[in-house]
Amino acid sequence: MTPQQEIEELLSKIALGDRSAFSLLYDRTSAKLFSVCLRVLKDRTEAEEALQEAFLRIWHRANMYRTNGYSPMTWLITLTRNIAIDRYRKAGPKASEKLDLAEVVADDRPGPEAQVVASGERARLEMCLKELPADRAVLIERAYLDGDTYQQLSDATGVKLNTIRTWLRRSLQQLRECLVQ
Amino acid sequence: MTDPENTSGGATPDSVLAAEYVLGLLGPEELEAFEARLNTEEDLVIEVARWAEHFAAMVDRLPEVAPPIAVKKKVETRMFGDEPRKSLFGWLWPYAVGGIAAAMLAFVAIDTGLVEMPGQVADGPVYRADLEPADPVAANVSLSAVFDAGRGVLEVAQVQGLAPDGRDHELWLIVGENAPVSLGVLPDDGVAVISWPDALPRDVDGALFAVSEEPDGGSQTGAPTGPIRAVGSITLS
Repeated sequence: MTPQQEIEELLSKIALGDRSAFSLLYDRTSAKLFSVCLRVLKDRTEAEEALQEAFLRIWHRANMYRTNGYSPMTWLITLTRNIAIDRYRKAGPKASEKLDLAEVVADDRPGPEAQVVASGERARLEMCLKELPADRAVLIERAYLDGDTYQQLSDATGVKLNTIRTWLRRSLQQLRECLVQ
Repeated sequence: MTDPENTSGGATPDSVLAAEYVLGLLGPEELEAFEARLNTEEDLVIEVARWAEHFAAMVDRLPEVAPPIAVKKKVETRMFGDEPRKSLFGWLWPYAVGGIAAAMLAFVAIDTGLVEMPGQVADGPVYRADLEPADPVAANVSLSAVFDAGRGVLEVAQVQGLAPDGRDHELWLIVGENAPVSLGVLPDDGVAVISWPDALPRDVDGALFAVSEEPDGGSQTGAPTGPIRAVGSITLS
């Protein structure tokens, strides 16, 4: 059984209220999901709270998993990321870490070894992100991994809000073209 | 003078909107409008799922960090504390509460004689349940069930009311406040011998059996989707 099938099976058991399946899913996925919370919230206590909330939602909504067409890991990651971002934004506006676009260079991104190891979906995304100018790819990464808004990206980079929005939209368009190839 | 970077080339394409949605970049109004479209436009739902899938690959870059052990304990405590949301009441509520109460009073074990226990060699306890309509007006389905916990065999006989053409009756076990667990679709001839799944507890005293009406072949979701036709509490025989 592939890890994906295993998680899928655990989710169907959890949908039926199977607590041992839940415990197993927690053990298999909590370290990955915790890393998502930590990256968004940048605070251990907050990240722990978000992780708890995420697993409670998984317990109650496991039966919804099949309805949206996501692979099981993506479903778990998306659910967790949404909770972490909600929490982050509810706490009020924050300045995100400064980002000097002039200093962003392509070397910051995973090297060839990582590309070889990465398989399928990941390799494809990494390859397409690499096709974008480095200072544009980093905006997408900040938006996804850190949950930055256009306003935060504008503040962090000192680039006008509308410009950031236009850059990002164009980059997403380019990324999409690369990904469907 | 206009900054050329600022001029947006007309309307934002849907695929970009979908990406912005997944990233969480849409403003409140755009978000509301986009979510309204998601309710009706399947292509858009697919586009969103596709982006979610692509972006999720970025998480592989993050170093995994095991959360403190206490977090799991807290989750499990809160999970059981939150349980009433999945209570029997919640599951069966839409199907006439009065009927359930009536059914639960009707368990004076009646031996219908329809269910034989051949070679009663088992030394485990034997449980019985009589399932009566949850809503007597809407259905006249009743069943009799005997569970031999020693042998792990459940025998169910339909006393009256088979599923309509193109529909099936599915049997569920509900233990305490847990979600219903399917025991399978009942055959058309109304008599079923079901071997008890290993994953389920055999001490079912006080648990419930319920029968729901489902699409042909049974529920696709793992949970009851159709009306509950009969319900009965399980008692030690």
